[in-house]
Amino acid sequence: MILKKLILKNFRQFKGTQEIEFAFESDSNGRNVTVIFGQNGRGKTGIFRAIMFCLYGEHLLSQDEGVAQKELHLINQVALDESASDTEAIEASVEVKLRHNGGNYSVKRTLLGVKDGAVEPGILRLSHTDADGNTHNYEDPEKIKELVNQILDKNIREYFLFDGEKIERLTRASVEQRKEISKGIRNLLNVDALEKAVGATQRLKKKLSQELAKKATGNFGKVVHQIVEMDEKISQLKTSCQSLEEEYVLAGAEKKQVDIQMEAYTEIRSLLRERRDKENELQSQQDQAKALLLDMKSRIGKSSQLLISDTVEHVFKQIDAKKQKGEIPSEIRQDLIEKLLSDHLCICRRELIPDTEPFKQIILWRDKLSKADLDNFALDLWRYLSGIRSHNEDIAGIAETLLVKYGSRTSTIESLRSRIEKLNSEIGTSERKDAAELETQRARIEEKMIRIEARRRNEQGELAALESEMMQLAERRKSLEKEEQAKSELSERATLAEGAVQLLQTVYEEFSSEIKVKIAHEANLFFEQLLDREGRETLKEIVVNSDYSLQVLDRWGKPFLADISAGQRQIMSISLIAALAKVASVSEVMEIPLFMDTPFSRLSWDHRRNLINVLPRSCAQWILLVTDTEFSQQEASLLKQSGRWGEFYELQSKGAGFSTIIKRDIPYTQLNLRESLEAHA
Amino acid sequence: MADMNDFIQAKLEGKCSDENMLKLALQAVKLSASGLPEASVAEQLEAVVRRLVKDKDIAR
Repeated sequence: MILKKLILKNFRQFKGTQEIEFAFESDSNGRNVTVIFGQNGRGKTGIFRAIMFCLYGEHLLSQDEGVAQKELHLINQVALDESASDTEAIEASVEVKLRHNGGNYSVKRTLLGVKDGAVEPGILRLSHTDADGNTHNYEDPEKIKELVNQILDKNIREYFLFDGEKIERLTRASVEQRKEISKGIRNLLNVDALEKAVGATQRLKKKLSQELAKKATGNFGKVVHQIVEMDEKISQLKTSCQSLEEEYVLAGAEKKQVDIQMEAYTEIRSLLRERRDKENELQSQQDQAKALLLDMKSRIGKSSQLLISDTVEHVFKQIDAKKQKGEIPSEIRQDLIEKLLSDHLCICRRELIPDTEPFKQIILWRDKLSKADLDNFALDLWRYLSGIRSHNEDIAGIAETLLVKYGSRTSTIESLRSRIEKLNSEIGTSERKDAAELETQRARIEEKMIRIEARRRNEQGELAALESEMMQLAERRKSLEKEEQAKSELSERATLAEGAVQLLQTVYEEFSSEIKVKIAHEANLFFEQLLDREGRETLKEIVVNSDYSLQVLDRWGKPFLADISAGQRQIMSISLIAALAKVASVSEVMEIPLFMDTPFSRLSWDHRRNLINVLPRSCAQWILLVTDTEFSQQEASLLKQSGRWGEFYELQSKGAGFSTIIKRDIPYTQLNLRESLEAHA
Repeated sequence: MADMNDFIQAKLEGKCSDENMLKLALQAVKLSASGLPEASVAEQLEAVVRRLVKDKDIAR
């Protein structure tokens, strides 16, 4: 999605009709940055609000927490005051023109209001002209909602259209918010389409198997019945695993809430801080131990030959000793002896007469050599065992290293656990009764989490066993189908559906894990480019969790999220956003706008400079709503040097509640920008 | 995202040699991406699978 134009009429501070044309990459000059400059109160957030209102129908933004919708006036007050009578309706409207997937869209939403404050929704219209020039008009709000969500999912709109000061909230999102965000990201990356495809083919497979079970007879029928029953068990287990996972996440959130409440007790604050650090470290050590175990498991197949390493060694040494002595291979060739016998002539030129003792000796010698095949075999075996020996040495070396590492992790885990236990009891015996009660509550939640985790592990194990049994049954069904000639159109349909389920499931698992790795990789590349020097010294890596929430590790690999600054959180969120957009668009440049309200206010000069240097090159469109306290000549000059600055607007006050949008030329000398923010500070 | 769909399609093609199975899987992804609910996608796939098996019979 690329924003092309915004037309406002009597919306918030903007009386009359006013418009902004946004710069975007495919402009002939390649400039993709739009700066909208205005001092506080001139309507910058009104512009942001207009886009959210038009596309999603939202009156309130996330920063309006605690504000009632009726308290927020979207219709320009001056226009209302100037209306002829109390009953004359004034129309406010916002129209957004945008480009998406080669098509052009125009969305217009209006409101009608009168002087006494009553406001009613007006029209909502979406017009779409596809790449072939065909235009479709829509007025059904549900359809329009669906289309807009396809362009930019509502759940992740705040990733791309956001208030710079609040963006860091994304790193603090609650469980419910994270779920929504994860849903939105899956939508953006088309992972949800694959998920739905798997679900739909599973439904189809189930239905066809049930139909087949009704009709099939004999052993084939029995197996089909078993498959249907097992399918049911598997889907029940999957649902149960999912709800256990949700229960676990909710318990984790509950625990966090208790921790926040406990922070209020100053006398135990240092203990709490230490416990939080130790718990984070414990989590990280447990993750590392888990990774080591997985590594060891993946090597088990290759290391099973270590079990016979003694025998290998023994046989190798036996053959090797013979080889060293020159017994194998024999130094005398069999064809040479055959020639001596047929020529009746010894090597020493003496005649060999049949049936004489020397002749018999040479025959004996030849017979002994007839074991040449055995020699060759022994030599092959010697070479093979030699390879196995050196391979065994490698495996043993790796296994030993892994075991040592695992042992060190488990001992660290043990000592961390015992320290945490000690801290728990110290916190629990706090003189404050209410703090002690909270600690008991926390311990109960932790026990619950352990129980859930144990159940989840059991069920996952059961599920894996059932799935493998299911695969065997499917094979058995195939062979019985042939044996009993039970092949029918229905069975063919069921087989086809089953194959499609497996295919989609495999691709889904591969795709979703690859995409997470890719996002983490890209996010880290951006993070490194955007962080200032100090940040780079302290922070090592962003970790993208399975629900797309973020963690950051310090240079020792320990979780550090709780301790980073608001500016660093902002940079972290922007890195994830840029990575998401880049991965979603597959191509190098993301076709999603970055629309940022007050983006620089919390950032150091280094961070601001890095953003200005990196983002215009990495995204198709960057729209900045800036105030004089965050945008000085220093930022403007750097932006100008980038060659990407395409449009510049100033929001000017024309009196109370009335601002106009003025298009300015670049350079920006008409404005009295501060020399630099640091000098001003 | 058109690019993402191409990416998924290439992955499916790389993992399957059965033409009909691939057609069914691709159709499932296409219908799912169109915004239809899962149950409706399954219903439409039933018709697809029936047609694929029939066409195969005719070809035999």
